[in-house]
Amino acid sequence: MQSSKGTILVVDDEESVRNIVARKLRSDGYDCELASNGREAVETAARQHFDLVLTDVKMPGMSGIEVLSQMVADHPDTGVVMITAMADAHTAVEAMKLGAYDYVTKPFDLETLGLRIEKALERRKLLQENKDYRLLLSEQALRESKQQYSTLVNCLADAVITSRGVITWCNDRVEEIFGYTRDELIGQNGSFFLPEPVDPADFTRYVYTATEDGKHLAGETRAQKKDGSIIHVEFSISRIPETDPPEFITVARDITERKEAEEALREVDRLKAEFVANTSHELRTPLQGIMGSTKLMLAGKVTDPETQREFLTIIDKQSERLTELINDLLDVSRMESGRFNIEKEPTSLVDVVHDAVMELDNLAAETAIEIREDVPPQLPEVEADPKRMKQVVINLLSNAIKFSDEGGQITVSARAKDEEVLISVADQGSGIPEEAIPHLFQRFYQVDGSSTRSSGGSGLGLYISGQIVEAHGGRIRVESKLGEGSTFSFAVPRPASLPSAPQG
Amino acid sequence: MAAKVLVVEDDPAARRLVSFALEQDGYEVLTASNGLEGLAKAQTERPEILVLDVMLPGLDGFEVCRRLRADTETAGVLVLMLSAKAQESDKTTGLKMGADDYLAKPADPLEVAARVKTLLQQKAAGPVQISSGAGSGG
Repeated sequence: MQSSKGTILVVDDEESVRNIVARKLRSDGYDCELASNGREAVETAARQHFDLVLTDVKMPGMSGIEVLSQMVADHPDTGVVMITAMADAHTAVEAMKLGAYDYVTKPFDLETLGLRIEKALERRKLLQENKDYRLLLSEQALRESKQQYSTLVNCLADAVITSRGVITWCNDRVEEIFGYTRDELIGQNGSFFLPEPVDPADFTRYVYTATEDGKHLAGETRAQKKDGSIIHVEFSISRIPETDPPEFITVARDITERKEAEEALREVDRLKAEFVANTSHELRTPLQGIMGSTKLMLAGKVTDPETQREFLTIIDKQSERLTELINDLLDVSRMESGRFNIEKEPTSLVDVVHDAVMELDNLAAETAIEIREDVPPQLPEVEADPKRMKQVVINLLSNAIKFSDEGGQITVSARAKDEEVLISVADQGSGIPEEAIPHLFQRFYQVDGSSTRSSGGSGLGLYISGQIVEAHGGRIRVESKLGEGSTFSFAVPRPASLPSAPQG
Repeated sequence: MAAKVLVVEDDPAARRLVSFALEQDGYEVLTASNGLEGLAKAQTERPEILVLDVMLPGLDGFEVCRRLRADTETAGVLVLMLSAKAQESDKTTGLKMGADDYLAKPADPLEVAARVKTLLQQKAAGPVQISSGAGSGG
């Protein structure tokens, strides 16, 4: 059977016209069906697909215009060509507006009709191809867009969750952040992640209200992971427009590290402020002595030469104390900014200890305290910064003098061990309460909370000493018994025991 | 009769200088070098006013002041705090603990003496004003 050039439904109430037209079309190679009125045409078109409907306008009952409307509504792929009376241009225009492909006016010759039909079918074919192509394009675009979306959503560093009352989907990142698999989450309420239980209905209502009128619900919250640990999360919940029931997209980011860094920064700020406050009142105490003496003398209140001398001595001592405090503060500042350097050289701790004792002899003598040196002269040398070593011994001796009773005894001893040289400073003073010992090497720590240091300390001495000893690869320790005295000792490694040094 | 002033101060230099200025103004000056000693002397010696340091070994000045106020025997004593704690929050704490005045170190001993004088005068004038006011009203 020869393949048809197309299927055409011819609608006309005049049988002769129907037959003439049908004969012509069939001879041109079309398949043809006939209908004698509008209703019959609509019924036939409902049963069978036509490429084209050729319909008379003026028919009893259902008019051609009504047939056209019905075809456009129910069979948009079927083209419609109208047959109108010569005088009825108005109807022709209306038909074109409604979606007719073309119209032919009666009377027409069959050749013209054939051409018009051919053109109409060609147009229909082009329209169809165009439509198919558009569909193809939009399907492709949709597919690409979906791929872009899922790639985007899965390569985000953030968790993305869609929900409609319950979680309907989430990206891969969710498992990394919260520890739950997608399957564990789908079907859960959004309140699932909150560490404190929240009524799911309340939560949903809250999200619903907060996202009305295109608003985003954004903020920070604590969330609980599957393993029970708590993380800080920054989130934003948006309602997808025109969804009913409303659908939500939640984007959440783990900001725990940032939070912790912020917290650490705040702690640094707090410590700094505390340091400045401490420094401030450490400086004020010696200034009180200097200012008090000066003001009284300038006001002419001190006429007695002996008292004048006494007050000048206060100024002298407190100035020294202030200088020492400033030096200590500079040391601490260097230590905390990592600019504290020690210059190691072969050092005899025999000399270091002896020099330190000499320097503090006068101070000790003021309260009849005796400092004994128990240092073997053959003590091996260590690799150390002699100035800094002396600073440590002086600090320990100053403390010992401060906490010794009048007439007390202090012993500085040195012992060589296999891997280190151990220096100890022992006093018979008041001792240190057990609870204070862990804090001794913190800066500004005062065992008794007082501001007075008869030996001119700063509250920084033990902190600095600890740092110096550590910088030498050693350690500093204390043993103390209340009422019996304290022994501070530190060890400096001997060169042979240093990992990189050759064995000798 | 000279008013009795108790200087509670652990720093020997500050103690000496403040005492000196007060003695120059004719006060009878007592001293204590820690909080507990200060509290005991305030109870036994009954000074009219304390010049009280804050950072003291053992009991600090805030606590000494609080205990003075809690004891009916010593509740009425005047307290001038003199402290190296110079922040506004320290001053607030001192006044909350019941101090009548708060002076930050370093302070001129002559100013300390002047404030002591003012506080004593205010206290002497205070009750008179109230009773005379009540008297004229009745």
